[in-house]
Amino acid sequence: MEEYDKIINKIKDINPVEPGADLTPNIMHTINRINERHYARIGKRVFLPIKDLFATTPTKEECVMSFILMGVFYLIFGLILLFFIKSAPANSEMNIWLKSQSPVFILVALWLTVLGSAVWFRGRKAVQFARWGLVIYILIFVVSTMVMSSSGKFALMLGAGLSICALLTGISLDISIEKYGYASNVSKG
Amino acid sequence: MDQKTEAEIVARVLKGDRHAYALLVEEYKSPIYNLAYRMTGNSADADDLTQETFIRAYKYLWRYDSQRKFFTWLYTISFNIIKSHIKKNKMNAKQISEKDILSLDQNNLSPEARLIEDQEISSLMLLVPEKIRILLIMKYHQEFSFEEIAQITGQSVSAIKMSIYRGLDLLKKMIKD
Repeated sequence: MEEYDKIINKIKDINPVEPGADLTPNIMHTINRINERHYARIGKRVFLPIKDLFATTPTKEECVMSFILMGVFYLIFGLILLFFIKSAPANSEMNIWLKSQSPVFILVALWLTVLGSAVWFRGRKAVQFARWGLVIYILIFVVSTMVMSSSGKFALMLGAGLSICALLTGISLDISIEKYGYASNVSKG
Repeated sequence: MDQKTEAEIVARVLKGDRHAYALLVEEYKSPIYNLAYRMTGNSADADDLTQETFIRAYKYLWRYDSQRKFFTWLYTISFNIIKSHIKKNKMNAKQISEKDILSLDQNNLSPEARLIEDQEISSLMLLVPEKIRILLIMKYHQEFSFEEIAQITGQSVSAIKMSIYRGLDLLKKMIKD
């Protein structure tokens, strides 16, 4: 390498350039815009593009809100199936599936509420519990699909669809709770 | 700034004290800016790329492993941003091919080549392929170890040494000692 010493020294001697004085204020200004009040963020999160949604670290309140909103969604869906869907012919494949799914939805709604409440009351200590709880949440739909698959193709297709939805929402909730847990752990030192 | 202080600042930022992030920006803006400047050759791009680096680092701060040096992690982000910027802007157009450089090795240098010969090293560096140039800057201008460069770029130490040797060789041919 001695033959290159002159070049190496020339590279080492290149004068460093100084960034403009407004660089730090500009960066901090952009960061302040990212950090809106968290209540505004909760609302905005719903409309965020996926990449931005996963790029920010959620707060405890946002995590709890995600669990509760998901729970409310399943509860409403379960109640609709239980009380309002009556048009399916009795003993038809569809009717059997609809009747069987409403308790599943209500069970899932309660389970997600339990998970959200655990995070709310126990904070980062409940992160592992919530993550395993999400595995159970996904498994409820998978098992339900396997049980109902004997009822016919209709039940199998809807069950598979619901399982995929549960998997995607489960992963999304898991990413949020993991990020929240990691941020809390780091801040605790 | 030592690793412990860095981890403490990161923890404060993750806890919600976003103003603490300014300490990290102040500490590292200069080397990041310099890397961007030496890679793009203009201050406006260097400014944008430095800002983008710090903003992306802030967004993904939760991913930072406090066992690792913050600066190395930040550099990895910067390295990727600069790489994609160069790719996007087709900066390769500014470079000369290896064949052109080899032709400089001949004795019958054209007036243009002689002009190149007289250029400052920083101008000549812009003619080195960006993949090699970034390694030369990190190694000799910013004095990173081979291991640190390997960590930042994801390449093996031997591959980095090879590229750096190649870069030095290209510069030597351009300077024509």
